[in-house]
Amino acid sequence: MIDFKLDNETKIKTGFKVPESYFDSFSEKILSKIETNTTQEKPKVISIFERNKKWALSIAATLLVFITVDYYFFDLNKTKNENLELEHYIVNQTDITDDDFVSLLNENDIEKIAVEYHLDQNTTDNLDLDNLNLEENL
Amino acid sequence: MFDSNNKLLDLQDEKEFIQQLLDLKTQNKAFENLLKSYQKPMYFHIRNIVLNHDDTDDVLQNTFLKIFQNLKNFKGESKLFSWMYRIATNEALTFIANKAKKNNTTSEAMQTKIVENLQADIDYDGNEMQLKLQKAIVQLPEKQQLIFKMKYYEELKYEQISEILGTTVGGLKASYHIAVKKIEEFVKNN
Repeated sequence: MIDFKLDNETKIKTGFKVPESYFDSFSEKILSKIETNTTQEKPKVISIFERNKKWALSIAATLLVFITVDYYFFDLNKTKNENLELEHYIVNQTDITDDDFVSLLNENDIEKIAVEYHLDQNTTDNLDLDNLNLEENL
Repeated sequence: MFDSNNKLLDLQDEKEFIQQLLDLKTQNKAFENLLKSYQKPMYFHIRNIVLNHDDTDDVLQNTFLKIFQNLKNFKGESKLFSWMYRIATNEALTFIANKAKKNNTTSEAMQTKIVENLQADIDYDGNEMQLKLQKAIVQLPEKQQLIFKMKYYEELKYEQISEILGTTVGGLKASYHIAVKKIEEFVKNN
């Protein structure tokens, strides 16, 4: 068995051969393939929608704005009308007394009302002084 | 990119060359220069992996077409040289994997068979020692084969191989050292 060291050997080549003049024509072959691929690329087909896309989108956007605005105002008026109807109903409905309203409130609701109106002693005193017809109401 | 003395261009020259490749006005001429500079080293890089000429021709053509198609995606984060070699390596490895799959075998088994029949290949004229080295290499794991061929046959620097394969220089040195030991052992015993 001989001792073999790769570094001690003269450079061992691959032994691969290349057909004669292979490299002479290779770059031309690739360049012509690239050219063929480029020229064979299909022109882009633009659909009618694509062509008029800008117009179609503008019309759609305008319609959307109209619908949104119309719906918003219509809905707002509708809510206002509904609230008015309810108010009229309550005012004209003589069967509902203040006690009926109070019975529907719990303690939290009453506290909230107190906070909203800031009914402290000073406020009520001022109200009494400012209100000249107070006696008539008592 | 190599200059007329087959030396890699420096970074500034490479940047200018990449600009020419990306500019549609200068692209064709620059790509022709690229082809002429790289066709030989890339051919042998691929041939060392796929082993026969006809397959190498197919892979080399696909590699250059892919390079041209992807020029616009080349970010310049790596060197043009390593980017191109990476494409070539991937193309070659994918090619042998697909060919093995078509033949219902593994890449390793297929490559071993090709090496065993190398003497019958009209594009091979290696002597006894050259053939023995090919037989020793094909026994190695795929990655070790690749590293050995790039270092020993193609004489690439570890830094260049590292950029191409994405392996550390230390890892490459260790793999090459192991590959040489295995090859020496194979030659001794055969």
